[in-house]
Amino acid sequence: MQQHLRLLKTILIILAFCLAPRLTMAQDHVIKGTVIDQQGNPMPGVSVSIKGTNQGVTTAVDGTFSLKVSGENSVLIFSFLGYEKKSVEIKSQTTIRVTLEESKSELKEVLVVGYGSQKKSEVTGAISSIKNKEFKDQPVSNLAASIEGKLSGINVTQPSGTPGAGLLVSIRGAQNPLYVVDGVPMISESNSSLGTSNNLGGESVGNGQNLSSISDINPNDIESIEILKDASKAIYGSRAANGVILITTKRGKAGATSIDFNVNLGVQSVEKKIPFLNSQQFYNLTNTAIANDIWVYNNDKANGNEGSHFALSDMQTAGIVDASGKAIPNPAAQYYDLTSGINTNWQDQIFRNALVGNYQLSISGGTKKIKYFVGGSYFDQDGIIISNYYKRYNLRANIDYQVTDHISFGLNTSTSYSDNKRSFNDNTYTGVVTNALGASPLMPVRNQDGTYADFTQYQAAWLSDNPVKSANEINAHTYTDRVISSAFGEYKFNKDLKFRTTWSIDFNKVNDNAFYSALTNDAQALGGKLLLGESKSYTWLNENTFTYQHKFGKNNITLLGGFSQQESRTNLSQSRGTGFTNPGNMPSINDAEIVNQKILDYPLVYDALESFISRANYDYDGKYLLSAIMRADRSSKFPTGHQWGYFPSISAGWNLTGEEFLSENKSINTLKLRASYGLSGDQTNVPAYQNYAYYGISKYDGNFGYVPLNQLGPEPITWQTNKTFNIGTDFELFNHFLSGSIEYFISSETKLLNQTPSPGTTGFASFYSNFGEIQDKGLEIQLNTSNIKNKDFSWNSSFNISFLNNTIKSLKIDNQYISSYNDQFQTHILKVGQPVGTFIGVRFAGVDPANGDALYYAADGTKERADQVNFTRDATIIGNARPKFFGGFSNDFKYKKFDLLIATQFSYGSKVFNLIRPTYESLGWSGAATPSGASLATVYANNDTRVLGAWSHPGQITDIPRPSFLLQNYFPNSSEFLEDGSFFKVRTVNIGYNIGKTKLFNSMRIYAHAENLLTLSKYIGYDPEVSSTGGGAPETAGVDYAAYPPARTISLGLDIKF
Amino acid sequence: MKKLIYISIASFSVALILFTSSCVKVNQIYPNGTQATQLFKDSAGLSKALVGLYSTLEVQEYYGAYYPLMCDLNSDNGYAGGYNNNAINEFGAYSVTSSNAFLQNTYVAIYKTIASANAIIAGEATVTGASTQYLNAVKGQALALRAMAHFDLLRAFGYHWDITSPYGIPVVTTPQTSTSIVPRATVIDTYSAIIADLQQSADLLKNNINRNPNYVNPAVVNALLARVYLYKKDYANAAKFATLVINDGSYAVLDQNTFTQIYTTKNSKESVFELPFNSQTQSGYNAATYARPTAALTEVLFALNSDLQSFFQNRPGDLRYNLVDTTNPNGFLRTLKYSSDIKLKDNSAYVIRISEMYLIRAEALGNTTDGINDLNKIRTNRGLPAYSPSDSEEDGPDYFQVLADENRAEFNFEGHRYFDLARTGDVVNYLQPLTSATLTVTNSCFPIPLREINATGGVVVQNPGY
Repeated sequence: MQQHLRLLKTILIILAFCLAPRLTMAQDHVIKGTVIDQQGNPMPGVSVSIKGTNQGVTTAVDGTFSLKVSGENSVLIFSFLGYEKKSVEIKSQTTIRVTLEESKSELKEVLVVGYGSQKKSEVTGAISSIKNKEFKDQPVSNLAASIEGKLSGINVTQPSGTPGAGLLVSIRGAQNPLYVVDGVPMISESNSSLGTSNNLGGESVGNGQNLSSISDINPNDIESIEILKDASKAIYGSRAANGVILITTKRGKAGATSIDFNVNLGVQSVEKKIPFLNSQQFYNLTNTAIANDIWVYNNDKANGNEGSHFALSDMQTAGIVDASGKAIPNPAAQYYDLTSGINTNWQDQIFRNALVGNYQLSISGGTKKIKYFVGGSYFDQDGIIISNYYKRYNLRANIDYQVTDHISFGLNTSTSYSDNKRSFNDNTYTGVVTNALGASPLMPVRNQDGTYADFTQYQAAWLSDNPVKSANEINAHTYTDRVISSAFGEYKFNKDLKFRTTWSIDFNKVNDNAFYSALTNDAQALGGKLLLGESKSYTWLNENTFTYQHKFGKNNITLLGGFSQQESRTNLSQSRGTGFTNPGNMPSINDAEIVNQKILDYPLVYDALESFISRANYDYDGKYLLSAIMRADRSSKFPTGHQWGYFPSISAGWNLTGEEFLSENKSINTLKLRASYGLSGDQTNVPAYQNYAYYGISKYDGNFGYVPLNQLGPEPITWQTNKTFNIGTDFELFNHFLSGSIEYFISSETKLLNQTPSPGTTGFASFYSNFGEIQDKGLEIQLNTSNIKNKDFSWNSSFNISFLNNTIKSLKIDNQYISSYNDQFQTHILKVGQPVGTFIGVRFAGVDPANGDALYYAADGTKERADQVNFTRDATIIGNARPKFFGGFSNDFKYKKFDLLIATQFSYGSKVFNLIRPTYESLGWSGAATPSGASLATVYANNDTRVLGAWSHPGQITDIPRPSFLLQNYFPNSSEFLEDGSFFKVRTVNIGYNIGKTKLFNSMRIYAHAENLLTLSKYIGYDPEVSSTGGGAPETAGVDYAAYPPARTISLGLDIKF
Repeated sequence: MKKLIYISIASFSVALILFTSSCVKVNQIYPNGTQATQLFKDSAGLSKALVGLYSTLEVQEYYGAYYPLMCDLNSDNGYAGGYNNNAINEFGAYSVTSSNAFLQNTYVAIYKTIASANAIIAGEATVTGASTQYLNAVKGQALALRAMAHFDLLRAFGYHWDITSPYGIPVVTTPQTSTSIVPRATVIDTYSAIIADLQQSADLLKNNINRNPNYVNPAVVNALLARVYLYKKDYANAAKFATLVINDGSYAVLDQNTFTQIYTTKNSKESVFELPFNSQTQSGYNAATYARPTAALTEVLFALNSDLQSFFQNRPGDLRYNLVDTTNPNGFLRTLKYSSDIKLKDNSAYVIRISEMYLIRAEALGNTTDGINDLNKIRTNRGLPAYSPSDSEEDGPDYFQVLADENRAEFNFEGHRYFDLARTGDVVNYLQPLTSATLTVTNSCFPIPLREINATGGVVVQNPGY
């Protein structure tokens, strides 16, 4: 409405001028005018200058300007970032109306670079950027999902389908980047204390699902995301080692108030179910296994090797042959009541079609002085596993106030609250999914009387509980309160120099409440069990910078200098209550019979950082570019004298298109070459308080005492230093048809700050040290094409591919074996010459066609059976979790009012250790560690239908070994269960229709959206992307222990702008 | 306008002042504990370190449950449960490999006890204001616990049965730095170090008349000496120190009607050294051996071997068979020793009981009247008829066999059996029939964890055969 009024006003003014009596042409006259965009909206802030002079003005909020020109044939130049420059010859006009067109060239884009922004054409670093329009409408809770497959060098994977779960973002192979939201570095790790990989004693045995605190940011509030990949990240010095993700949220613009309402509603379902045996097939599998055992025994005897697999007495103890050694017909029949007619498909019982809804409303606008963006959203996602959900409420207000020409200030604040009803023990061997994989189809969910069926009464020794019971009777919530708020003030001394100060806080409170009802196995004997965890984290940050920008002749110089200080405290507590007489759904710990306060090693975590920041950018005529960065950081994590780290970097660029020899070349629109080298630091791998050797609190006989907590290494620890060298090119060719960039980099992580194994005789397994080096090398290609562009139809494509190579160059202690679960066999190794994430295991040698034995290579090259394998002796490197290349390909179509986006993602060459498959391909095994322990009452687990193709007769060539009841005819930690993790995914399909402007609204778009529509992969489990270790630790990447599978989502949405 | 300029300049200045005056505390000290260098200043700090030393015994990997239980699992008493956990299965098949995670964690946990003890012993030099008597009492306890820890390592990782062997364990008697490497001592040198510590401890504690079984006192030291001498096959000394404990008068063998109270009450008259747990500091015994009445095998890591059941079935009248649970609906066996306290999970660790002293003396004295009396002291209090010398005639059972069986019946699931089989050279005889793995003398002790071989650059050498 206001907009209409303003437009009217402008027109009236113009008319008034036109109607006014013509003034005689003077030498000097004032010209007035309005600048509008292609849609007819006034454009404020456009710079208007007179060619050949340094006179100029910028347009006001309503797009108007007035300027004194001398001489008749003056030429006015209109320029605005992101728009094509326009020159207009002024003759005798006194008023003009100028329409600026959006720039075709991507290089005109402005990129946020940390403590400022730069035109893409002037950037000398490797920076990937993505705008809101390329990721909006996705029904996802985590902003990282927005960039999946879209940017070169950045591999985003979904380690778990858990709602609110963290995504694994790896920038050039390094995980856990720094997230900076509107200039404020935010906490991105999970602060949830709820163990997700517990053993039965309740002890945590591994990293489980990771709730990302990045999920506290609403992806739809984001205007753009920039990722600093090379030495340009040095401006964030100490925390930038793994790359920096700069997030810019939406801000108000001067002009009409815009109200945007966006809603989408969708249905999610599990992408894939693993086909399992039904009751009859399950029964048959056991009988086949028993028959095979008797055959094997007789076969051994016939070949003069009697007892080479097991003794006659073992078969007798197990009850499959009688005293004379004759087979007992159908021995297992009594344990398999097929007449019950029960045939439970457990995956159908735990998975469901679940709704996801996202509602958001934002209002933005402003005047010349005040601009605002206020947005609220509600995100409500049910998990595809029963009784699991995630709800999040967000509110954001971004306000800018221009007090005078010199002074401005503003406030960005984001608050959110979320309730994550967790799926119990996702990613480990007692979880809901884990128990469903392998549960007997003969077991009902509930007994006739409505009580949960007791899993111990059915033939699957693998289970730890009835999975439906676990899902329903373990009420685990993670509640998060988050406030990220920053206030900034800017003072412009003159047109060249400004000062900016920012004060911000990041408050993050995470409460974990988990109640196990007395119906669950874990708490049955305890009368219910309540686990409480609280993490309260408070960070404040102050940054102060001066920016000086000056142009003399064709020289442009920008200098940045400043300092910053940051302090954060996290208080942690955990307690446990057991024994509740009247618990309800979530009792209070005060009602517990026994309350146990856990003694934590670090109940208060403190760290502080102070830094000096500087950067100098110089360019000559936009052609020759130079940039230098120096940052110094001081961290409280290191002992006195070793706290400072210095992170310099230098980069240069050359815009060849400005050169004469290319000016005639029609096929090259722009071409830039650039190179950079720089250092960045890392301190994330080390906990607080490693400055001295400490004693921590412990208890004996009810008394408090002190016990050694840490040990210091021989050298005081200091910053890990990462060195990155990058060369790259940005180009636009063939009349803007093809654009893109190519990067090559070599990056070394040196002085690795990590745990080094120490001799156990010290009483510690390790200490922190700076030792070791890892090198990453890679090639990244990003190509965009504008295939068709005309009035009615346009088609753009975007393709990216990255090749990464990671090698451990040196280690303090070579050949370190690492477990993904600390009570299991080791799955990974750190070895010089190999990449991080290398798997160890025994090599599978196939199935012996003569008798169906699974065979494995022993260290001496001979083949041995599963029960002869000696892990320590025989294990060798069998692959690694890193893809050889990955990328994405997306296409974007517009036809009249329709638009369509199809985004795909691919990854090739990674391996996944499917550690749960040995369970659901247990081939009728009894589950007993020794043949003599075999019991007919229990077999280990139900199997997938692949085992129907198992070895069944001598001479058969197959990869699936002979089903055996007495023997575990497979070795879990072997390459038999290491699978190809390559995939191609149709990640996103979005089709929309724009209704356009009507009386009621400015625009309306309706759309349908599909997420994870299709996955092509040879992987036998749910999804090759999942990682049960949450993916946070690259050393143990690529392990699937029945992780929560990802969902396919189909949604409908509506976006109305008023 | 001007005002605002001043405000910006002022705020910059304030920020600068804050910065320069280090409002941010970059030299932060850990607030929830104390620096190692601050601890050993006075007797208060010293006593806290002593409490800390005791607490290192109670971690899960040591006497919090796993050390004694995994050793029993590696004998004919135990049977592997859990989720087909390879690390557990290796113990169950008596063929543990050097990358076993449980073994690795236990190795470090026991050395932590030694490191804590060494810090106390060395730290006493800087303590001021404490009486010599107090310093002696603390040092005496630290020495005894250091000796016990070394001995627990020796019998798990060393050739403890062969005093001529070079395969003892690294003996650590001084505070270590993170990269200090200690090579293995010979077996005889390991024994000497252990005995020297215990003798010094006995001397320092000699005036202590307290017999609280939760703390080291002269009787505990003597009991440890008796045990160590028995393993060393120094029978005269074994008998001598066992006698000192038996004659101490503070302990009694519970009779057949009350002996199960060992496992249901705290600090029974049987206990010479017992580690107490409570609802705040829970132990793992119940969860690892029992869990709940109708537990499945997957829920119990350390189940009971049917061989132990057969063993008791051949001992009519032995009331200790009642501590074997044969009625679990899921068809596996387990011990009932830690079945009480499901809720509190505060089952004690029974490190040394007076019964052991009688059986040590019976073994040390051999087939003599006194030896037989000691053996029968236990038998008759457990519902068995007295063993009489005539039984050892040619057709009767051998005295030492009866004694070994008595040890097994009495101490199953208390961590004795594997070591007893090893020191009498019986590992292969008893365990081979129960596994498909091929056993040799190699399997009489565990391998040194592979991690340790790597971390010491091979200075700590592996046991032969691993």
